Amino acid sequence: MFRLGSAVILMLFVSSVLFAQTPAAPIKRTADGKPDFSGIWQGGGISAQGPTANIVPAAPAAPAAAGARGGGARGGGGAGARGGGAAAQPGALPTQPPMQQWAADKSRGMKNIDDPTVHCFMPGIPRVVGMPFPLEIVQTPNKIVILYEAFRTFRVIPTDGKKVGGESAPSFNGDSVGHWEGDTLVVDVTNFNGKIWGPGNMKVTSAKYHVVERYRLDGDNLIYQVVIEDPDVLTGPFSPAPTTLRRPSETRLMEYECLENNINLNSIVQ
Amino acid sequence: MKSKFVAAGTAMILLFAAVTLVAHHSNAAQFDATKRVTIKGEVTKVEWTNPHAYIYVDVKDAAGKVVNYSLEGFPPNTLLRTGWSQKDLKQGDTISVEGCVSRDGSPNLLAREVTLADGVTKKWWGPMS
Repeated sequence: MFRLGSAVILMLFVSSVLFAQTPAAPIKRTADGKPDFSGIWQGGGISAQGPTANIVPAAPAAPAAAGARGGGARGGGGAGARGGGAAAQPGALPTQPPMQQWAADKSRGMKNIDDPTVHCFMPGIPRVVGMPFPLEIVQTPNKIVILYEAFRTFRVIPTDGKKVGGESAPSFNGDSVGHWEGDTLVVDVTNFNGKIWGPGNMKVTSAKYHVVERYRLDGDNLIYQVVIEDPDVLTGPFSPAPTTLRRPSETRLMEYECLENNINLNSIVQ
Repeated sequence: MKSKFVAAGTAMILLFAAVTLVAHHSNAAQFDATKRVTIKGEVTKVEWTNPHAYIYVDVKDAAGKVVNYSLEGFPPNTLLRTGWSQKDLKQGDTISVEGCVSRDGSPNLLAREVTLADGVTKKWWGPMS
């Protein structure tokens, strides 16, 4: 008994020491030595492997956010139901964007029918990352292209810090300019159109909505982190914990043309 | 480290919400998750369409009246990735379906599970959040 207990303690100790000293998992690199993000990734939803590791059982809905929108099947409604009642832990990263009062009030009043994606508009950044469809990254030495299966979204992101082309109109996905900071790709996204919902409870954005994305590899996982700013909507920057995208077993993207048979709008209104 | 992982997972949910489960819209307003029924009928049409797939089924009620139900499901991409094939369903098949009723009483189900003619049961829709 004693030996068994000692052995277990020793194993725990050894494993904890090993774990603590484990160097960062090796990552795949391109010919020019950059982290290789190429391939298919899944941030949320259901893949051929079943629900991804990022899916956890839903927390009880906060009373204020429950009700007609309680289903929360899309970004925003569910986030409100989940995040609204969470008590902040000391040192914990924020779970909801710090909204100005008017924006918080307006967001609370939003209904399912107000969600741009219900009308098949693109979810914007970063909501599109969490859609239940894979995305594919195509990487070249000076740009990456991200093809999102959801809502036929694509982004062309220069990685040399240089904006491509001239003036562009405000848009759902904004304009992206990337640069490398070591092994992290930092993407500055601006020129949004103020028509998308932000993350979590944030159901209003302005033309000043600004996202800084950070992409890095951890072994075979893609770690994705954002900082959201919107001086017309938020009281300060929103820096939630990073999220993990995994490689699903899918080997190709498929078409998702949301307008094809979007027949239930009348019953979604509430 | 583990707590970091958990925190990241939690943040993912908070950030992206239950959007992760369903592609397009919430169903709570349209369907009542607490009221489930099982119906049996004959497939009249199958739509492998976005943003949601639909099966249409003729169901005979106690009085012998035939009602055509629509059964809303996941997007086709999700169905195909979770074990469905378009060959699984064809017009004239008899299937039984367990699902959540429509709040407005219309013959629409959020079809959770479909038992095919060969007895195999598959999820047409995942857990209702």
